[in-house]
Amino acid sequence: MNVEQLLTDAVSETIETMAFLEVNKADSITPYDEHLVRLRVEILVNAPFPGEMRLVLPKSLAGLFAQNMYSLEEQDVTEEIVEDVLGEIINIIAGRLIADILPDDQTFQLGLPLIGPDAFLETEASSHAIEFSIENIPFWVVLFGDGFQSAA
Amino acid sequence: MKKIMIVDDSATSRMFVKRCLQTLLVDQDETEYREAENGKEALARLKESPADLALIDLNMPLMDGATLLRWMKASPKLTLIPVVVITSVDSPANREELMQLGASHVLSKPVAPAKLKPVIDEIFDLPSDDGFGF
Repeated sequence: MNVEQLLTDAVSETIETMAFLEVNKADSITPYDEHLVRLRVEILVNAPFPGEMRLVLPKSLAGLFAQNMYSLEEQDVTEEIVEDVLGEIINIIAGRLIADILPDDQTFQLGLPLIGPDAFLETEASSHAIEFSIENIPFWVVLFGDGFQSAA
Repeated sequence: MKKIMIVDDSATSRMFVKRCLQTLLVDQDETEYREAENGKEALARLKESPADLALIDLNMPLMDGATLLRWMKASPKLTLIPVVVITSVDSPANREELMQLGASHVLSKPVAPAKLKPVIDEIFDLPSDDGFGF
């Protein structure tokens, strides 16, 4: 199975179902813009393999998710709502991806989402970053650890 | 009046579940929705006043959903409450484990009215075709 395609499906279906926004996958990674205020939310895969999934996105896009999901005006979106929305999105994307790559008889466990500001988009040897966009705003999902690929 | 307990540490998830239930139960008598952020809080509140249905997440701080489910099924006062697990950790193997623990249904997130409708119809013995077209 192609992990990148499974991840694309998981990201698209989750965001389209929850936030009613169309997701497009990019063919390359946009150069890092250090002036762009970004957030990152990450979740650990605890079993059956150690791994991590990280969602990195502009703060403005995170706000748009929250606006759409809660039917709020921009000025009514709080930091607390944005953090909760991002935590739920990464939780669902990670669960969907891992369920898709593991055999049916394999159980799995996820940690709790952690949210914070993003300093830079890490590109370690064991990581795999994929860029997506919504309304021409890019965002990224990064998979850490070999488990995603080897399980698939 | 139906009493429904929604247990999830994510306010967003609780909001989604409640919205779906409100859509599905719009024609029913008044429904009381209760919310808890973790299994420990839910268990304490259910012991005070049992509900007709509990919809619970799995990954939560303090007490996770599987532990809450075990406690409920071990409690004579709570064992008959139908428990629907709504989780992102949904694989056939995870699902089988939860059903063995006593869950009546297991649904994957994100929940939507179409996904929840047959479960609610079955639990509350509602007519399967109510005009929503799901």
